[in-house]
Amino acid sequence: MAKILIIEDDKFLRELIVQKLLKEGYEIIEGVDGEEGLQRLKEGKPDLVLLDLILPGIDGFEVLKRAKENTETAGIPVIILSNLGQKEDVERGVKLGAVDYLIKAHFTPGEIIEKIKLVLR
Amino acid sequence: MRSQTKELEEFKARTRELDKVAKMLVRRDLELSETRARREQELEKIELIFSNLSDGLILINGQGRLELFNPAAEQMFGVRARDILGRTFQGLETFPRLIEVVRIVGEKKEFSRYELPIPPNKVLEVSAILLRAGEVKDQGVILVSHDITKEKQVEQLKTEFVSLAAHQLRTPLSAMKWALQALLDGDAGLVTPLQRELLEKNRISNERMIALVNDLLDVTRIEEGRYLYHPAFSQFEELVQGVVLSYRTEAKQRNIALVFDLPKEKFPRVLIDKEKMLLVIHNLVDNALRYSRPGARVEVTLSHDEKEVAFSIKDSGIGIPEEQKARLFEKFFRASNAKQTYTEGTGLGLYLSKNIIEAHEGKIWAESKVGQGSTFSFSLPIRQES
Repeated sequence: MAKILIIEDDKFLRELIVQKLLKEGYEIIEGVDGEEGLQRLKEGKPDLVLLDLILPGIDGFEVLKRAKENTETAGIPVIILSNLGQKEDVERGVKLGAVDYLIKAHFTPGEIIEKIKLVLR
Repeated sequence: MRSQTKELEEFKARTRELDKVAKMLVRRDLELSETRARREQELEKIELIFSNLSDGLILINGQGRLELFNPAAEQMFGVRARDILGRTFQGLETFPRLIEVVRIVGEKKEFSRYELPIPPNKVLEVSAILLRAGEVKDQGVILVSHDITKEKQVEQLKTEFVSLAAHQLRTPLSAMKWALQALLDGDAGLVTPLQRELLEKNRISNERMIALVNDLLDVTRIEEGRYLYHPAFSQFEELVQGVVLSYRTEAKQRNIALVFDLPKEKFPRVLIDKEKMLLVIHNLVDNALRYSRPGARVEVTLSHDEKEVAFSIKDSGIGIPEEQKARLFEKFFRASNAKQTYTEGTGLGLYLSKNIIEAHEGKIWAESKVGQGSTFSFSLPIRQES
Protein backbone atom coordinates (compact mmCIF):
# COMPACT_ATOMS: atom_id res chain seq x y z
CA MET A 1 0.00 0.00 0.00
CA ALA A 2 1.12 3.53 -0.73
CA LYS A 3 3.10 5.56 1.78
CA ILE A 4 1.85 9.03 2.66
CA LEU A 5 3.71 11.84 4.40
CA ILE A 6 1.59 14.28 6.38
CA ILE A 7 3.11 17.65 7.23
CA GLU A 8 0.74 19.32 9.68
CA ASP A 9 1.44 21.19 12.89
CA ASP A 10 -2.00 20.90 14.51
CA LYS A 11 -1.91 17.71 16.56
CA PHE A 12 -5.64 17.07 16.63
CA LEU A 13 -6.11 17.58 12.89
CA ARG A 14 -3.12 15.36 12.23
CA GLU A 15 -4.53 12.60 14.40
CA LEU A 16 -7.94 12.74 12.75
CA ILE A 17 -6.60 12.43 9.23
CA VAL A 18 -3.95 9.84 10.19
CA GLN A 19 -6.54 7.58 11.80
CA LYS A 20 -8.67 7.74 8.71
CA LEU A 21 -5.73 6.99 6.41
CA LEU A 22 -4.51 4.10 8.56
CA LYS A 23 -7.99 2.63 8.42
CA GLU A 24 -7.79 2.79 4.63
CA GLY A 25 -4.57 0.79 4.85
CA TYR A 26 -2.02 3.47 3.97
CA GLU A 27 1.40 3.58 5.51
CA ILE A 28 1.90 6.92 7.27
CA ILE A 29 4.86 9.10 8.13
CA GLU A 30 4.43 12.45 9.87
CA GLY A 31 6.16 15.80 10.08
CA VAL A 32 5.03 18.40 12.62
CA ASP A 33 6.81 21.38 11.00
CA GLY A 34 8.54 22.36 7.78
CA GLU A 35 12.03 21.20 8.83
CA GLU A 36 10.90 17.79 9.98
CA GLY A 37 8.64 17.45 6.97
CA LEU A 38 11.53 18.03 4.56
CA GLN A 39 13.70 15.55 6.43
CA ARG A 40 11.01 12.86 6.39
CA LEU A 41 10.45 13.55 2.74
CA LYS A 42 14.10 12.81 1.92
CA GLU A 43 14.46 9.78 4.19
CA GLY A 44 11.02 8.28 3.85
CA LYS A 45 10.47 8.46 0.07
CA PRO A 46 6.68 8.66 0.35
CA ASP A 47 4.37 8.18 -2.65
CA LEU A 48 2.43 11.33 -1.82
CA VAL A 49 2.62 14.33 0.51
CA LEU A 50 -0.23 16.12 2.28
CA LEU A 51 1.17 19.55 3.04
CA ASP A 52 -0.11 22.28 5.35
CA LEU A 53 1.01 25.84 4.53
CA ILE A 54 1.17 27.76 7.77
CA LEU A 55 3.82 25.92 9.74
CA PRO A 56 6.29 26.97 12.42
CA GLY A 57 9.70 27.72 10.96
CA ILE A 58 9.87 27.01 7.22
CA ASP A 59 6.36 27.41 5.83
CA GLY A 60 4.61 25.06 3.46
CA PHE A 61 5.35 27.13 0.35
CA GLU A 62 9.06 26.91 1.10
CA VAL A 63 8.81 23.15 1.79
CA LEU A 64 7.09 22.70 -1.57
CA LYS A 65 9.68 24.81 -3.34
CA ARG A 66 12.58 22.85 -1.87
CA ALA A 67 10.87 19.53 -2.53
CA LYS A 68 10.51 20.43 -6.20
CA GLU A 69 14.09 21.73 -6.47
CA ASN A 70 15.53 18.42 -5.25
CA THR A 71 15.63 15.92 -8.13
CA GLU A 72 15.16 13.03 -5.70
CA THR A 73 11.87 14.36 -4.39
CA ALA A 74 10.65 16.48 -7.31
CA GLY A 75 8.54 13.64 -8.73
CA ILE A 76 6.54 13.01 -5.53
CA PRO A 77 3.04 14.50 -5.87
CA VAL A 78 2.14 17.08 -3.24
CA ILE A 79 -1.44 17.93 -2.25
CA ILE A 80 -1.73 21.16 -0.31
CA LEU A 81 -4.14 20.83 2.60
CA SER A 82 -4.46 24.23 4.18
CA ASN A 83 -6.93 26.76 5.43
CA LEU A 84 -5.40 29.54 3.42
CA GLY A 85 -7.68 29.89 0.47
CA GLN A 86 -7.19 33.28 -1.12
CA LYS A 87 -6.77 33.18 -4.86
CA GLU A 88 -3.14 34.29 -4.59
CA ASP A 89 -2.33 31.42 -2.21
CA VAL A 90 -3.90 28.84 -4.50
CA GLU A 91 -2.15 30.24 -7.55
CA ARG A 92 1.17 30.32 -5.74
CA GLY A 93 0.77 26.72 -4.58
CA VAL A 94 -0.15 25.43 -8.02
CA LYS A 95 2.66 27.40 -9.61
CA LEU A 96 5.15 25.82 -7.23
CA GLY A 97 3.99 22.42 -8.43
CA ALA A 98 1.23 21.17 -6.11
CA VAL A 99 -1.11 18.68 -7.85
CA ASP A 100 -4.13 19.81 -5.87
CA TYR A 101 -5.11 22.45 -3.36
CA LEU A 102 -7.66 21.52 -0.71
CA ILE A 103 -9.06 23.86 1.90
CA LYS A 104 -9.38 21.87 5.12
CA ALA A 105 -12.68 23.38 6.16
CA HIS A 106 -14.25 22.45 2.83
CA PHE A 107 -13.39 18.74 2.81
CA THR A 108 -14.08 15.83 5.15
CA PRO A 109 -11.29 13.28 5.68
CA GLY A 110 -13.26 10.89 3.47
CA GLU A 111 -13.29 13.41 0.61
CA ILE A 112 -9.58 14.08 1.09
CA ILE A 113 -8.91 10.35 0.73
CA GLU A 114 -10.90 10.33 -2.51
CA LYS A 115 -8.57 13.04 -3.82
CA ILE A 116 -5.51 11.07 -2.69
CA LYS A 117 -6.76 7.96 -4.51
CA LEU A 118 -7.28 10.03 -7.64
CA VAL A 119 -3.70 11.33 -7.57
CA LEU A 120 -2.19 7.92 -6.80
CA ARG A 121 -4.10 6.16 -9.54
CA MET B 1 -22.97 131.98 -49.16
CA ARG B 2 -25.46 129.27 -49.30
CA SER B 3 -22.91 126.66 -50.41
CA GLN B 4 -20.56 127.84 -47.68
CA THR B 5 -23.16 127.14 -45.05
CA LYS B 6 -23.76 123.77 -46.58
CA GLU B 7 -20.07 122.96 -46.54
CA LEU B 8 -19.84 124.00 -42.93
CA GLU B 9 -22.78 121.79 -42.08
CA GLU B 10 -21.15 118.87 -43.83
CA PHE B 11 -17.87 119.51 -42.11
CA LYS B 12 -19.55 119.58 -38.74
CA ALA B 13 -21.38 116.39 -39.53
CA ARG B 14 -18.12 114.66 -40.50
CA THR B 15 -16.42 115.88 -37.36
CA ARG B 16 -19.23 114.45 -35.27
CA GLU B 17 -18.84 111.15 -37.10
CA LEU B 18 -15.08 111.08 -36.57
CA ASP B 19 -15.62 111.91 -32.98
CA LYS B 20 -17.93 108.94 -32.63
CA VAL B 21 -15.44 106.65 -34.30
CA ALA B 22 -12.65 107.94 -32.10
CA LYS B 23 -14.72 107.35 -28.98
CA MET B 24 -15.57 103.88 -30.17
CA LEU B 25 -11.92 103.11 -30.77
CA VAL B 26 -10.98 104.28 -27.32
CA ARG B 27 -13.74 102.17 -25.87
CA ARG B 28 -12.62 99.11 -27.88
CA ASP B 29 -9.04 99.61 -26.81
CA LEU B 30 -10.18 99.78 -23.22
CA GLU B 31 -12.21 96.64 -23.67
CA LEU B 32 -9.31 94.87 -25.30
CA SER B 33 -6.90 95.65 -22.54
CA GLU B 34 -9.55 94.61 -20.04
CA THR B 35 -9.94 91.31 -21.85
CA ARG B 36 -6.22 90.87 -21.96
CA ALA B 37 -5.95 91.55 -18.26
CA ARG B 38 -8.75 89.13 -17.56
CA ARG B 39 -7.07 86.48 -19.69
CA GLU B 40 -3.82 87.00 -17.90
CA GLN B 41 -5.64 86.67 -14.62
CA GLU B 42 -7.24 83.45 -15.80
CA LEU B 43 -3.88 82.11 -16.89
CA GLU B 44 -2.37 83.02 -13.57
CA LYS B 45 -5.23 81.31 -11.83
CA ILE B 46 -4.77 78.15 -13.88
CA GLU B 47 -1.07 78.21 -13.25
CA LEU B 48 -1.71 78.71 -9.56
CA ILE B 49 -4.02 75.71 -9.58
CA PHE B 50 -1.55 73.56 -11.48
CA SER B 51 1.36 74.41 -9.25
CA ASN B 52 -0.56 73.93 -6.03
CA LEU B 53 -2.40 70.76 -7.01
CA SER B 54 -1.49 67.79 -4.84
CA ASP B 55 -1.82 65.48 -7.86
CA GLY B 56 0.97 65.38 -10.38
CA LEU B 57 0.10 66.87 -13.77
CA ILE B 58 2.04 66.14 -16.93
CA LEU B 59 1.00 67.51 -20.31
CA ILE B 60 2.42 66.29 -23.59
CA ASN B 61 1.25 68.49 -26.46
CA GLY B 62 0.13 67.45 -29.95
CA GLN B 63 3.70 67.59 -31.21
CA GLY B 64 4.75 65.11 -28.54
CA ARG B 65 6.64 67.65 -26.48
CA LEU B 66 6.48 68.04 -22.72
CA GLU B 67 4.58 71.21 -22.00
CA LEU B 68 3.74 70.97 -18.33
CA PHE B 69 5.27 69.20 -15.37
CA ASN B 70 3.86 70.61 -12.15
CA PRO B 71 5.64 70.69 -8.75
CA ALA B 72 3.67 67.69 -7.47
CA ALA B 73 4.86 65.69 -10.48
CA GLU B 74 8.41 66.88 -9.82
CA GLN B 75 8.13 65.62 -6.29
CA MET B 76 6.53 62.29 -7.20
CA PHE B 77 8.92 61.39 -9.98
CA GLY B 78 11.96 63.10 -8.50
CA VAL B 79 12.70 64.96 -11.74
CA ARG B 80 12.90 68.75 -12.13
CA ALA B 81 10.64 70.41 -14.68
CA ARG B 82 13.33 72.79 -15.92
CA ASP B 83 15.50 69.81 -16.89
CA ILE B 84 12.89 68.30 -19.13
CA LEU B 85 10.34 70.88 -20.33
CA GLY B 86 10.22 71.17 -24.11
CA ARG B 87 11.75 67.75 -24.75
CA THR B 88 9.96 65.18 -26.87
CA PHE B 89 8.38 62.52 -24.70
CA GLN B 90 10.61 59.81 -26.17
CA GLY B 91 13.56 61.86 -25.02
CA LEU B 92 12.40 61.45 -21.42
CA GLU B 93 13.52 57.85 -21.45
CA THR B 94 16.92 58.89 -20.16
CA PHE B 95 15.25 59.39 -16.79
CA PRO B 96 14.69 55.88 -15.35
CA ARG B 97 11.68 57.01 -13.34
CA LEU B 98 9.97 58.34 -16.45
CA ILE B 99 10.41 55.22 -18.59
CA GLU B 100 6.94 53.97 -17.69
CA VAL B 101 5.47 57.39 -18.42
CA VAL B 102 7.00 57.29 -21.90
CA ARG B 103 5.47 53.85 -22.43
CA ILE B 104 2.01 55.00 -21.32
CA VAL B 105 2.09 58.07 -23.54
CA GLY B 106 3.30 55.95 -26.45
CA GLU B 107 0.26 53.67 -26.14
CA LYS B 108 -2.08 56.48 -27.15
CA LYS B 109 -5.05 54.88 -25.50
CA GLU B 110 -8.12 57.04 -25.10
CA PHE B 111 -8.04 56.42 -21.36
CA SER B 112 -5.79 54.22 -19.28
CA ARG B 113 -4.88 53.83 -15.65
CA TYR B 114 -1.80 52.19 -14.16
CA GLU B 115 -0.19 51.62 -10.85
CA LEU B 116 3.46 52.56 -11.05
CA PRO B 117 5.90 51.53 -8.38
CA ILE B 118 8.52 54.22 -7.85
CA PRO B 119 11.60 52.88 -6.08
CA PRO B 120 12.28 52.57 -3.21
CA ASN B 121 8.73 52.29 -1.91
CA LYS B 122 6.33 54.73 -3.50
CA VAL B 123 3.28 53.68 -5.53
CA LEU B 124 1.60 56.08 -7.94
CA GLU B 125 -1.71 55.71 -9.68
CA VAL B 126 -1.31 57.31 -13.10
CA SER B 127 -4.27 58.07 -15.36
CA ALA B 128 -3.59 59.04 -18.95
CA ILE B 129 -6.17 60.79 -21.08
CA LEU B 130 -5.80 61.39 -24.79
CA LEU B 131 -6.80 64.97 -25.50
CA ARG B 132 -9.09 65.83 -28.36
CA ALA B 133 -10.60 69.04 -29.69
CA GLY B 134 -13.96 68.28 -31.27
CA GLU B 135 -13.34 65.70 -33.97
CA VAL B 136 -9.58 66.22 -33.99
CA LYS B 137 -7.95 63.48 -32.02
CA ASP B 138 -4.44 63.37 -30.69
CA GLN B 139 -4.10 66.88 -29.35
CA GLY B 140 -1.69 65.50 -26.79
CA VAL B 141 -1.88 63.51 -23.62
CA ILE B 142 -2.49 64.58 -20.07
CA LEU B 143 -1.29 62.41 -17.21
CA VAL B 144 -2.60 62.77 -13.71
CA SER B 145 -0.66 60.96 -11.01
CA HIS B 146 -1.84 60.33 -7.51
CA ASP B 147 0.25 59.03 -4.64
CA ILE B 148 -1.43 55.85 -3.34
CA THR B 149 1.47 54.55 -1.25
CA LYS B 150 -0.53 54.74 1.99
CA GLU B 151 -3.60 53.07 0.52
CA LYS B 152 -1.42 50.27 -0.80
CA GLN B 153 0.16 49.72 2.59
CA VAL B 154 -3.22 49.60 4.31
CA GLU B 155 -4.51 47.23 1.67
CA GLN B 156 -1.53 44.96 2.19
CA LEU B 157 -1.99 44.95 5.97
CA LYS B 158 -5.66 44.22 5.56
CA THR B 159 -5.04 41.32 3.20
CA GLU B 160 -2.53 39.85 5.61
CA PHE B 161 -4.91 40.27 8.52
CA VAL B 162 -7.83 38.71 6.69
CA SER B 163 -5.77 35.79 5.58
CA LEU B 164 -4.51 35.19 9.07
CA ALA B 165 -7.94 35.60 10.67
CA ALA B 166 -9.44 33.20 8.16
CA HIS B 167 -6.81 30.66 8.96
CA GLN B 168 -7.28 31.07 12.69
CA LEU B 169 -11.04 30.66 12.42
CA ARG B 170 -10.97 27.82 9.94
CA THR B 171 -8.53 25.61 11.79
CA PRO B 172 -10.77 24.88 14.81
CA LEU B 173 -13.77 24.68 12.47
CA SER B 174 -11.96 22.04 10.40
CA ALA B 175 -11.11 20.07 13.51
CA MET B 176 -14.78 20.10 14.53
CA LYS B 177 -15.86 19.11 11.05
CA TRP B 178 -13.46 16.21 10.80
CA ALA B 179 -14.22 14.95 14.31
CA LEU B 180 -17.98 15.15 13.76
CA GLN B 181 -17.62 13.27 10.51
CA ALA B 182 -15.54 10.58 12.21
CA LEU B 183 -18.25 10.18 14.86
CA LEU B 184 -21.03 10.09 12.24
CA ASP B 185 -19.07 7.50 10.25
CA GLY B 186 -18.98 5.33 13.35
CA ASP B 187 -15.20 5.52 13.63
CA ALA B 188 -15.50 5.84 17.40
CA GLY B 189 -18.16 3.17 17.86
CA LEU B 190 -21.81 2.73 17.14
CA VAL B 191 -24.01 5.84 17.26
CA THR B 192 -27.60 5.67 18.48
CA PRO B 193 -30.30 7.38 16.36
CA LEU B 194 -30.73 10.06 19.00
CA GLN B 195 -26.98 10.73 19.11
CA ARG B 196 -26.90 10.81 15.35
CA GLU B 197 -29.62 13.42 15.27
CA LEU B 198 -27.66 15.67 17.64
CA LEU B 199 -24.43 15.14 15.74
CA GLU B 200 -26.18 15.93 12.49
CA LYS B 201 -27.49 19.21 13.92
CA ASN B 202 -24.02 19.98 15.13
CA ARG B 203 -22.64 19.28 11.70
CA ILE B 204 -25.09 21.75 10.16
CA SER B 205 -24.05 24.47 12.62
CA ASN B 206 -20.43 23.76 11.84
CA GLU B 207 -21.04 24.04 8.10
CA ARG B 208 -22.89 27.27 8.70
CA MET B 209 -19.92 28.77 10.48
CA ILE B 210 -17.58 27.66 7.71
CA ALA B 211 -19.87 29.32 5.17
CA LEU B 212 -19.92 32.46 7.30
CA VAL B 213 -16.12 32.64 7.36
CA ASN B 214 -16.10 32.20 3.58
CA ASP B 215 -18.61 34.99 3.09
CA LEU B 216 -16.74 37.28 5.46
CA LEU B 217 -13.60 36.71 3.44
CA ASP B 218 -15.49 37.56 0.27
CA VAL B 219 -16.96 40.69 1.81
CA THR B 220 -13.57 41.89 2.94
CA ARG B 221 -12.17 41.25 -0.51
CA ILE B 222 -14.99 43.10 -2.19
CA GLU B 223 -15.02 46.03 0.20
CA GLU B 224 -11.29 46.36 -0.05
CA GLY B 225 -11.62 49.16 -2.57
CA ARG B 226 -14.81 48.04 -4.26
CA TYR B 227 -13.18 48.17 -7.59
CA LEU B 228 -12.55 45.52 -10.16
CA TYR B 229 -9.22 43.79 -10.16
CA HIS B 230 -9.13 42.06 -13.51
CA PRO B 231 -11.76 43.40 -15.86
CA ALA B 232 -11.59 41.95 -19.37
CA PHE B 233 -13.93 41.80 -22.33
CA SER B 234 -15.70 38.44 -22.14
CA GLN B 235 -18.56 36.44 -23.61
CA PHE B 236 -21.14 36.80 -20.88
CA GLU B 237 -23.40 34.02 -22.16
CA GLU B 238 -20.60 31.44 -21.93
CA LEU B 239 -19.95 32.38 -18.33
CA VAL B 240 -23.61 31.87 -17.50
CA GLN B 241 -23.76 28.56 -19.32
CA GLY B 242 -20.76 27.27 -17.35
CA VAL B 243 -22.42 28.08 -14.05
CA VAL B 244 -25.76 26.57 -15.04
CA LEU B 245 -24.04 23.36 -16.16
CA SER B 246 -22.22 23.11 -12.85
CA TYR B 247 -25.56 23.11 -11.04
CA ARG B 248 -27.16 20.44 -13.20
CA THR B 249 -26.46 17.53 -10.82
CA GLU B 250 -27.63 19.41 -7.77
CA ALA B 251 -30.83 20.46 -9.51
CA LYS B 252 -31.48 16.86 -10.54
CA GLN B 253 -30.90 15.65 -7.00
CA ARG B 254 -33.42 18.15 -5.70
CA ASN B 255 -35.79 17.32 -8.53
CA ILE B 256 -35.85 20.87 -9.87
CA ALA B 257 -35.96 21.61 -13.60
CA LEU B 258 -33.12 24.06 -14.25
CA VAL B 259 -33.79 25.53 -17.69
CA PHE B 260 -31.42 27.64 -19.76
CA ASP B 261 -31.45 28.11 -23.52
CA LEU B 262 -28.12 29.41 -24.70
CA PRO B 263 -28.91 32.22 -27.14
CA LYS B 264 -28.06 31.22 -30.73
CA GLU B 265 -26.38 34.48 -31.72
CA LYS B 266 -23.23 35.68 -30.06
CA PHE B 267 -23.64 38.44 -27.52
CA PRO B 268 -21.54 41.60 -27.69
CA ARG B 269 -18.66 41.14 -25.30
CA VAL B 270 -18.88 42.96 -21.97
CA LEU B 271 -16.17 44.29 -19.71
CA ILE B 272 -16.27 42.12 -16.60
CA ASP B 273 -14.17 40.76 -13.81
CA LYS B 274 -14.82 37.08 -14.46
CA GLU B 275 -14.08 35.81 -10.99
CA LYS B 276 -16.42 38.30 -9.37
CA MET B 277 -19.14 37.88 -11.97
CA LEU B 278 -19.06 34.11 -11.43
CA LEU B 279 -19.66 34.75 -7.75
CA VAL B 280 -22.82 36.71 -8.61
CA ILE B 281 -24.23 34.13 -11.02
CA HIS B 282 -23.44 31.30 -8.60
CA ASN B 283 -25.17 33.19 -5.83
CA LEU B 284 -28.34 33.79 -7.82
CA VAL B 285 -28.58 30.23 -9.16
CA ASP B 286 -27.83 28.84 -5.73
CA ASN B 287 -30.55 30.97 -4.14
CA ALA B 288 -33.13 30.01 -6.76
CA LEU B 289 -32.50 26.30 -6.20
CA ARG B 290 -32.28 26.68 -2.44
CA TYR B 291 -35.67 28.33 -2.07
CA SER B 292 -37.56 26.14 -4.57
CA ARG B 293 -39.57 23.07 -3.71
CA PRO B 294 -38.98 19.70 -5.38
CA GLY B 295 -40.74 19.53 -8.74
CA ALA B 296 -40.36 23.26 -9.30
CA ARG B 297 -38.88 25.00 -12.32
CA VAL B 298 -36.04 27.52 -12.38
CA GLU B 299 -35.47 29.40 -15.58
CA VAL B 300 -32.44 31.45 -16.60
CA THR B 301 -32.81 33.88 -19.50
CA LEU B 302 -30.40 36.26 -21.18
CA SER B 303 -31.09 39.19 -23.43
CA HIS B 304 -29.32 42.20 -24.83
CA ASP B 305 -29.80 45.39 -26.83
CA GLU B 306 -27.24 47.93 -28.00
CA LYS B 307 -26.77 49.39 -24.57
CA GLU B 308 -26.73 46.45 -22.17
CA VAL B 309 -26.83 42.72 -21.56
CA ALA B 310 -29.31 41.39 -19.02
CA PHE B 311 -29.51 38.25 -16.94
CA SER B 312 -32.58 37.04 -15.14
CA ILE B 313 -33.47 33.98 -13.14
CA LYS B 314 -37.05 33.07 -12.32
CA ASP B 315 -38.05 30.60 -9.64
CA SER B 316 -41.37 29.49 -8.26
CA GLY B 317 -40.06 29.35 -4.72
CA ILE B 318 -41.17 30.88 -1.44
CA GLY B 319 -41.04 34.50 -2.63
CA ILE B 320 -40.18 37.61 -0.64
CA PRO B 321 -42.63 39.40 1.68
CA GLU B 322 -43.50 42.79 0.17
CA GLU B 323 -42.52 44.83 3.22
CA GLN B 324 -39.07 43.23 3.31
CA LYS B 325 -38.20 43.71 -0.34
CA ALA B 326 -36.50 47.04 0.21
CA ARG B 327 -33.94 45.50 2.55
CA LEU B 328 -33.17 42.49 0.35
CA PHE B 329 -29.72 43.61 -0.73
CA GLU B 330 -28.59 44.82 2.68
CA LYS B 331 -25.71 43.25 4.56
CA PHE B 332 -26.80 40.33 6.78
CA PHE B 333 -30.46 40.74 5.88
CA ARG B 334 -32.56 37.61 5.51
CA ALA B 335 -36.28 37.56 4.81
CA SER B 336 -38.37 36.07 7.64
CA ASN B 337 -39.68 33.19 5.51
CA ALA B 338 -36.18 32.47 4.16
CA LYS B 339 -34.82 32.05 7.69
CA GLN B 340 -37.35 29.28 8.29
CA THR B 341 -36.76 27.45 5.02
CA TYR B 342 -33.01 27.45 4.84
CA THR B 343 -31.20 28.09 8.07
CA GLU B 344 -27.66 28.11 6.73
CA GLY B 345 -27.92 31.35 4.77
CA THR B 346 -25.70 34.17 5.95
CA GLY B 347 -27.50 37.12 4.43
CA LEU B 348 -24.42 38.15 2.53
CA GLY B 349 -24.90 36.64 -0.92
CA LEU B 350 -27.16 39.34 -2.34
CA TYR B 351 -25.20 42.10 -0.63
CA LEU B 352 -22.04 40.83 -2.31
CA SER B 353 -23.81 40.48 -5.64
CA LYS B 354 -25.06 44.05 -5.48
CA ASN B 355 -21.58 45.37 -4.71
CA ILE B 356 -20.11 43.45 -7.60
CA ILE B 357 -22.79 44.47 -10.10
CA GLU B 358 -22.49 48.11 -9.07
CA ALA B 359 -18.72 47.97 -9.40
CA HIS B 360 -19.47 47.00 -13.01
CA GLU B 361 -21.77 50.04 -13.28
CA GLY B 362 -24.71 47.68 -13.69
CA LYS B 363 -28.06 47.36 -11.94
CA ILE B 364 -29.55 44.52 -9.93
CA TRP B 365 -33.16 44.12 -8.84
CA ALA B 366 -35.83 41.62 -7.79
CA GLU B 367 -39.50 41.09 -8.46
CA SER B 368 -41.41 38.76 -6.22
CA LYS B 369 -44.68 37.57 -4.73
CA VAL B 370 -44.92 35.45 -1.61
CA GLY B 371 -45.78 31.87 -2.52
CA GLN B 372 -45.40 32.49 -6.25
CA GLY B 373 -41.69 32.90 -6.58
CA SER B 374 -39.11 35.52 -7.41
CA THR B 375 -37.23 36.82 -10.40
CA PHE B 376 -33.77 38.24 -9.86
CA SER B 377 -32.26 40.27 -12.67
CA PHE B 378 -29.21 42.31 -13.37
CA SER B 379 -27.95 44.27 -16.35
CA LEU B 380 -24.47 45.30 -17.41
CA PRO B 381 -23.58 48.18 -19.73
CA ILE B 382 -21.95 47.41 -23.07
CA ARG B 383 -18.86 49.49 -23.58
CA GLN B 384 -16.96 50.21 -26.72
CA GLU B 385 -13.92 48.01 -27.13
CA SER B 386 -10.99 50.17 -28.09
